[in-house]
Amino acid sequence: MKTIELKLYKPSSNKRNIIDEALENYSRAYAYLMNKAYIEIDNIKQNYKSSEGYYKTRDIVKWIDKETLKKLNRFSAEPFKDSIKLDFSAVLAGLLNNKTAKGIDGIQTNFKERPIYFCRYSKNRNYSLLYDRENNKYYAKLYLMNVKNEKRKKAMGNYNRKLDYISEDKEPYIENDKKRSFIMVPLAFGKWQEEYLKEAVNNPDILKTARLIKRNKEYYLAINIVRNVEEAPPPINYMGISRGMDKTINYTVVDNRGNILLEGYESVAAFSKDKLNIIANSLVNIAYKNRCQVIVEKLTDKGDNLSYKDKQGRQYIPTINCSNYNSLHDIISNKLKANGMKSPIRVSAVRIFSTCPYCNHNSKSNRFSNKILLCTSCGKTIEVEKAGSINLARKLLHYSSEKILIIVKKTNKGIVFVNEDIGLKYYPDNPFDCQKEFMGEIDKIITNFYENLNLEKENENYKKKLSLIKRLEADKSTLKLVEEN
Amino acid sequence: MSLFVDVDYASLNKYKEELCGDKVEVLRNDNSVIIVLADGLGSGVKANILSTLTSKIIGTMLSMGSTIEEAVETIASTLPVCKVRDLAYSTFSILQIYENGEAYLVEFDNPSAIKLKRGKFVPTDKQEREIEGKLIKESRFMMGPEDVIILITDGAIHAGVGECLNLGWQWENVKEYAERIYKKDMSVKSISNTLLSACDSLYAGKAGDDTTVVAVKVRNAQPVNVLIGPPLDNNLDSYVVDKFINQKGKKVICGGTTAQIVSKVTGREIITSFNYIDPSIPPTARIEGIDLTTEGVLTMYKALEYAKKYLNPDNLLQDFSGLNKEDGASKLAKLLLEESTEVNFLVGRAINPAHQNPDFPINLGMKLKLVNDMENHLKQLGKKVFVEYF
Repeated sequence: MKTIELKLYKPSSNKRNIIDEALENYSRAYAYLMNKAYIEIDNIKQNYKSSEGYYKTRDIVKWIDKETLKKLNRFSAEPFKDSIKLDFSAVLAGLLNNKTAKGIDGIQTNFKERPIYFCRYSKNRNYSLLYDRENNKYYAKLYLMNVKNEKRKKAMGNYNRKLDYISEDKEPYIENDKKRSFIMVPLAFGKWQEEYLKEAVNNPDILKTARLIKRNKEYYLAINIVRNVEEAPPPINYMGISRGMDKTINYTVVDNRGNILLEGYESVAAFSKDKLNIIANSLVNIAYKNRCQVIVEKLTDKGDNLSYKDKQGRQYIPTINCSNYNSLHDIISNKLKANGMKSPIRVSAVRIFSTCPYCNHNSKSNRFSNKILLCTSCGKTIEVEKAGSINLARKLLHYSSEKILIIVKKTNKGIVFVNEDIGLKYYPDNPFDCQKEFMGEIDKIITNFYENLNLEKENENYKKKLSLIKRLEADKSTLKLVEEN
Repeated sequence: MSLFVDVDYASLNKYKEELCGDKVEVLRNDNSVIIVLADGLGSGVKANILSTLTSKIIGTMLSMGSTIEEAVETIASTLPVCKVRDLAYSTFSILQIYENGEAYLVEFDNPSAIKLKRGKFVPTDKQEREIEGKLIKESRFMMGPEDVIILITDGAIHAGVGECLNLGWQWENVKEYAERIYKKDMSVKSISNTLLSACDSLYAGKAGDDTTVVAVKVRNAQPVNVLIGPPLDNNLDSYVVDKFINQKGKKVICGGTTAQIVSKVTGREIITSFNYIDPSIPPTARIEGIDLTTEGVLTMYKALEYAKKYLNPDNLLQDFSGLNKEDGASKLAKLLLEESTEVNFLVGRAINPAHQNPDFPINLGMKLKLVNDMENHLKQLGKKVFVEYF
């Protein structure tokens, strides 16, 4: 998704008044909802949390009942009701989910000219764009007034101008005698924005929500654009992106056998959150060039134990905190999608900075200092942050190379081979020469699984079984027989 | 109480040097083991000559009953003098451990020995005295089962200088790392190789100095008895099995027919294992009271391959990490190479009918040769080995 910002070109004083009034109305209505939410926050917290344990916009929206919506009419907010509901709910959900900030106590309840949110692109409400093909000019049609608004006027009419809606049907814009609840304003734009506008003329589906913003006495329409991107070729390598002690971010690219193809880091002097975009651009570029599946740390519940306290009690902390790292993940995720690539996979970061990438030995004792990992099993040394990104990059390979255990038991009926996860219970005729027969049994399990897929999907452990079946399909040597003592 | 002293050492040559300037000499006699670690002045050939002479002279003289004064005086008067520095110089550490656990440690200019008790560092009281102008540090102490002493040369404590550690690896760091890597039942080979690997890694593969680590571990005697092959005269089956069963220590049976004979004589069931860990190695079985039951010749052959790797000084840590695998050959090799202090082979000379096939590459001669080779390898590790044929 991209946002293009278009300037409203020299709106008349009358139009300026209409916009200012709309901004004020919108802001007051929004503030009203926020103040109400502040008072009823316990109810919201208790009753509008999703089953996943956090707050979602679509759940908070349900808190705004008809009565509340009616009360917004006193702010002449009728044209924005749907938008304001979504705008408010998204902000409140964000505030309630944000554990590190002040949460609801951080709510700002005095809103001066909060940008107006248009939740849809539509010819007859919210906002739409029009195109003057002859003069190559673009106009915004903004619904800002309710029917009672005295500023509504009939069109003055510029009959020399022929406008078409930027819409699927390219309907021509026709003036009528009625008073208008909208204003039409020409747009000013640069070359970069024009590219998107031209694309929208041919493909109006790319135009999504928008915001009307007032900045330094000028007005802007910020439109969100979603383009269908060409899908990137499927990934063939893995790229681990980890936090660092010295460098801001470390990355490693490995092939499908875990061999390191590329390693490096992104480091910015005087790190601040606004530099995350620069880092993300560079990382996405590397991932794209090397056809990587990006793997990042999951830092939402358990940490990665990267911080270090030495014997003298000195505390060393990572260059970027978890919150910034998570923000980086979100940015990378959007940028990967924009490039037609798969979203990053978040994996547990536990032990990535204490596992030796050479021998996979994991121990807290491997951490020799704040920066150095010195393996207590093989004696190899590596920078802690490098080890982290290598271990991350190889994480999925390790998951898939874990052996599938088959328990061999002695029972009254004879020897039995068991794996409950895949539903194996096999009694060989001759346990001392049954390898072929055993593999045939595994093939049968795979075939049965796909033949009864719908039934399997209803099982509680369907996902686990599916993953095991897929691994068996790919490589049966992943099986390991273990004798039950 | 008779204790066994396990010794292993590993060295790293200074980058681009073909010879190591450190030298280790291990001399075993009836009641003690003498370990001498010498670090010659400089590097290359010159250092190698100095350290070899030092370790040989000290080791030989002490084992012949000379005193430390006599040994040091001899070194002082016989070592060739370096033309550049006008010095005849080699630092050294001497450790003598008697079978009752008494230990005598002498150090001259080498980094202090690291003594670990249950994996924790224990300092030793040292007396200083001057011999031939050299300040010698001496200490006498007792060592108990599982105690470890690590001797190092100064290459070890310089590792990492200017690379990943500003001031290199201080003695304190080496000590701390030794404590961290220590595990109960860890072999001396693992200790010395892990420490040396850490030094190599800190030097980033380009050692700035010759580096040597000697690991010494005192252990209670652990005899291992191996019954391999059925006796030539099957009337001796009961006699051999009884003799084997009544031996002290751990018991290993190598061979399917041999296991069946033991099962028949003792009335204990053979339970075949399904742990097909490595398809190239036949599975193991279980017999009550027997620590390990394996197939015969193929398993012993594989175990011998492990032993060769284990004893090859050029091999790296990962080359013998295979000993920790679960297959029969790995288990047999670990038992013989790392756990045993004394090995008794009871070798049956009966010809296996299955081996009569001319296409089958194994014959009796091969089995005897395998045992003979294994005996030699175990002796190189300082273990007592006895072989009886039936």
